[in-house]
Amino acid sequence: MSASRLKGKIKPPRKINGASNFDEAWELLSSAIHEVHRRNASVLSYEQLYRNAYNLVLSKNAERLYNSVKELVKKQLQDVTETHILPTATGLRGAGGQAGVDGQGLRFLKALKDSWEDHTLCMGMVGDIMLYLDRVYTKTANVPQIYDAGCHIFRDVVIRNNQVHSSLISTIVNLVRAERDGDVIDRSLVKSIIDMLGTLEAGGAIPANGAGNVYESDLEPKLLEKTRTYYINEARTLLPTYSAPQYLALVDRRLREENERCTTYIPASSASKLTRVVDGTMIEAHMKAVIEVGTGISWMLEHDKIEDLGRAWRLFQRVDTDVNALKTAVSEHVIAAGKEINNAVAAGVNSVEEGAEGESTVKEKVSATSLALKWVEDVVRLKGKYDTIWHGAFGSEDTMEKTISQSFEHFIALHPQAPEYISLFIDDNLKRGLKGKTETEVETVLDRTITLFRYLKDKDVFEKYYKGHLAKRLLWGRTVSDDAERGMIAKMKMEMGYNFTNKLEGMFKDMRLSAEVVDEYKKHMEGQERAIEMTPQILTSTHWPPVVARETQDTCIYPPEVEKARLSFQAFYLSRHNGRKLAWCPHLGTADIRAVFTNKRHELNVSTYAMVILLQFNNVPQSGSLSFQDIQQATSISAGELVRNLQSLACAKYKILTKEPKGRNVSPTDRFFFNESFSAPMTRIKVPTIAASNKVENDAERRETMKKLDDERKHEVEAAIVRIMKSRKTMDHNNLVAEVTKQLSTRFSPSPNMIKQRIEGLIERDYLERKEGDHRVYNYLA
Amino acid sequence: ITMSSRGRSSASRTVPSSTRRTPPSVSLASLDAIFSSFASPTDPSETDIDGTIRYCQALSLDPEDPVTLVLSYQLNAPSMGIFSRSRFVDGWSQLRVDTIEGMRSVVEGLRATWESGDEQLFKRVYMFTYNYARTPGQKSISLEVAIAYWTLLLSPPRFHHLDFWIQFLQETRPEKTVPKDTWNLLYDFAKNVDADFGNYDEDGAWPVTLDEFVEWMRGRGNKMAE
Repeated sequence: MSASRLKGKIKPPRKINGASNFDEAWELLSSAIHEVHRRNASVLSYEQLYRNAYNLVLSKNAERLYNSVKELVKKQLQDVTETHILPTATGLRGAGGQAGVDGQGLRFLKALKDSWEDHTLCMGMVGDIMLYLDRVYTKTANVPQIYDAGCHIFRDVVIRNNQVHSSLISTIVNLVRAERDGDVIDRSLVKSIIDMLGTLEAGGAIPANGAGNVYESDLEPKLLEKTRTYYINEARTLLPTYSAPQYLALVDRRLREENERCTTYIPASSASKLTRVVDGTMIEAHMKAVIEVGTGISWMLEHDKIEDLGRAWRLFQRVDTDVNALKTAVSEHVIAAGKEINNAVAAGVNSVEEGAEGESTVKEKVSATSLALKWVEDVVRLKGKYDTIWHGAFGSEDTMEKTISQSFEHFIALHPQAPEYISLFIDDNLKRGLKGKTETEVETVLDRTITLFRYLKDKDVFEKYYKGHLAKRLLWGRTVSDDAERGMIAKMKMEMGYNFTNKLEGMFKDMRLSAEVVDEYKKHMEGQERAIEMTPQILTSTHWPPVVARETQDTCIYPPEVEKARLSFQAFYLSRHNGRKLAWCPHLGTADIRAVFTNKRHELNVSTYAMVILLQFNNVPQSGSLSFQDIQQATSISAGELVRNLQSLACAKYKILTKEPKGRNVSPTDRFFFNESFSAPMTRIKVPTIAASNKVENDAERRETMKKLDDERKHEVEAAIVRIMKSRKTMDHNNLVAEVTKQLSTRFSPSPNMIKQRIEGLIERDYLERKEGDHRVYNYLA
Repeated sequence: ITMSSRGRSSASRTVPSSTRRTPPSVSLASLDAIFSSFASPTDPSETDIDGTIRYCQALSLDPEDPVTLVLSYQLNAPSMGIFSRSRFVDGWSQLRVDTIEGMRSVVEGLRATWESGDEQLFKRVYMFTYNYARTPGQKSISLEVAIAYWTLLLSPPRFHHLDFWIQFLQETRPEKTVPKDTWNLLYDFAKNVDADFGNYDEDGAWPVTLDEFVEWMRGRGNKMAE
């Protein structure tokens, strides 16, 4: 291009032919380059040199000039290597030894650094002299500019000189290693060497790793390889002696160090490669061991090592995106801890049952109940512990929360009485536990309990118990705080929706309305003579559990004065609520009666039945007696209730009655006497009815409860099937089962078999049919 | 009532559609007269057991011959041992037969088809049998009756495990009745499930009784293997 442009111009006359002209000019130039090399550039005339080079290029000697310069530089660098660099390299051993960390290694690097600085300086000047050559020739000939060509020569002649090369690599690698071992090294020297390697093109074809410069092609692979060996060894050596937390701290430190190294003297591009080596050699290879070792995850969880767990969480994430290994370990530990709680209760229950022979049944039940409460307390405590760990160590991360929740669900599901226990625990807290606890404390306890409630698979079982327990609290006035009761219901409503708490709220409503009715009744009766003050509670039978709302088959013949009051209220109520039906439930009521004994008058608080029984003795002459049959005949109280109430009157702490023969149990052949000589320090006495407070059910009661529940579930499943089929009209078996399971999942998990049986029942009753030709599809029959 | 009417509509007769219209050659009066000669003295709209037996004899048919069941299906008999007058007349007129001789030859034709193992006819007769075997007024059939008909209809090779099936039911639910759904699906089960239950799909919406039968059989197999 330049040549063609020159054609139109007047050319300066040519003195002689090209060949002899070249020798003459090169003589001049090469000696000048020598001078430059000897740092004697000041004696040179840049203008003259430039012109000579220029002339040579013009006289078509560019290629020759270019090659001659290269040849000269090469010779000079060979000379430098021999005289300056190699002498410092002798005595340095191969990469395997400790070569380089002593003064000699530094001298070697220093020599190398100096040579490089000299070289770049010289080549800058030479490049200036050859400016025209660079401008006209290099591009067309597709060769590097003089300066760059000089760099290539430096790379090939100096750096890749066998001995220099191996010394260089091993020195740097060893320095890095010395630093990892804790030595302080001359980072700036190493950095200038690495920078030099970084500026030198790798040369040749671009290798697979994409290395573009000598650092990447010659040093980095070796560095990574040595790093790998280093950390493999370190892990192997330290793992057996370090505890898991110590080891994790070490790994954490190593990662920090490698990153820091890559912000100071190793190129930043190596950071991810080096830390990946650490990840692989120190974390991935030993994760299982670190998890399982005695001081591993289990131990950390046990001892609330939040910082260490956090570190494990962070480090394991580097090699295991979902951190499944850690999650599995956490899950296993939670389940093991949960099972321990389950077993402790089971062992306790067994010992209670064994020790109970000959003991009173009341005591046994109390112990079983306290074990139930302990179970809930322990699980709540465990939950609190894991809340803290989850928040502190696992950054409140969602999938970890799920892992922990599932683990709780798992072991709670293993304990069939969990729903009953949780309800009892709430019962205990709402009636007794509130005393002496601040509102916030109660709130916290109840909040935690709700979390356990959330973990229950069969919420309908819980609902059943809760209803029973709540009923007793309400009817017997055992509730300490109405606000706390309502707070609990509100929490359940949040979890489960309106349907779940509907009936519970109905129970509260009944209590409120009852109070209003009683007020009205009192106003209505004002001025009239009344032997008895009566406070009935009017319960809507569908809101209350069956044990309360059963249509009372336990007929009771009330003493006349009581009967009068009963009829009076009944008439009043029915006159206001036409069409309603009142069924009286004496098994739920209490009565306050005044009793006159030889020494003292007492006010007795007894059950309604006990009141009816005691009033029978008003008609018995002094020291006369009534037989079991007499009482039964006069009152028509069912045998079971009669036994229970006579027991509480004659066999418990307060013996209002005495019986013959004496003993703990009441039998139908016993006779009963009014205990004239009874006395007690307090004027007001509460005669407790046996089995009156909320306790853990015994096996027979539980079987009964579960049987009822099973019937209810069958209904719920059928209702769900009909509901779904009514809207879908036709549906295949698996989808129907899935949909039913989904709809009921908030209450309980029906087994596929149960659903199947209900489907068959509905086919039998013509609600559904199987599709002609495909028995797996059902049609809804309207 | 809904059940039986549905049963009828789903089990369409094995009569070619071209013969559905009553051709003039068939005398409804003759059919009516034939029926009358076997009709129950108390309820002339039906035959009683006695009349049914006499009718079978007239057709040279043993009442316990399976072909009697096929004929009952053909005439849509409401239940065992009973033919209904209207269905009798409809059935035969559709077949364009109005003489005892003609009926006899149709019965021979039915026998030939039945004994050839014709699957369509078999399926229809099997499905028909449940309502037919039911005591009038009852919803399902007793195990005893079901076993009798299964023995008649599903003996091997139709159902390899018939003996075990019966044993299973007698052992696990002797007092129970057999619901129609189980009856119907046993046909699919016998026809489609391999003798070793290899292709039995527990999630295949089979009645629970069949699930339990397969489990019971597998349990037996394991015990025998030990």
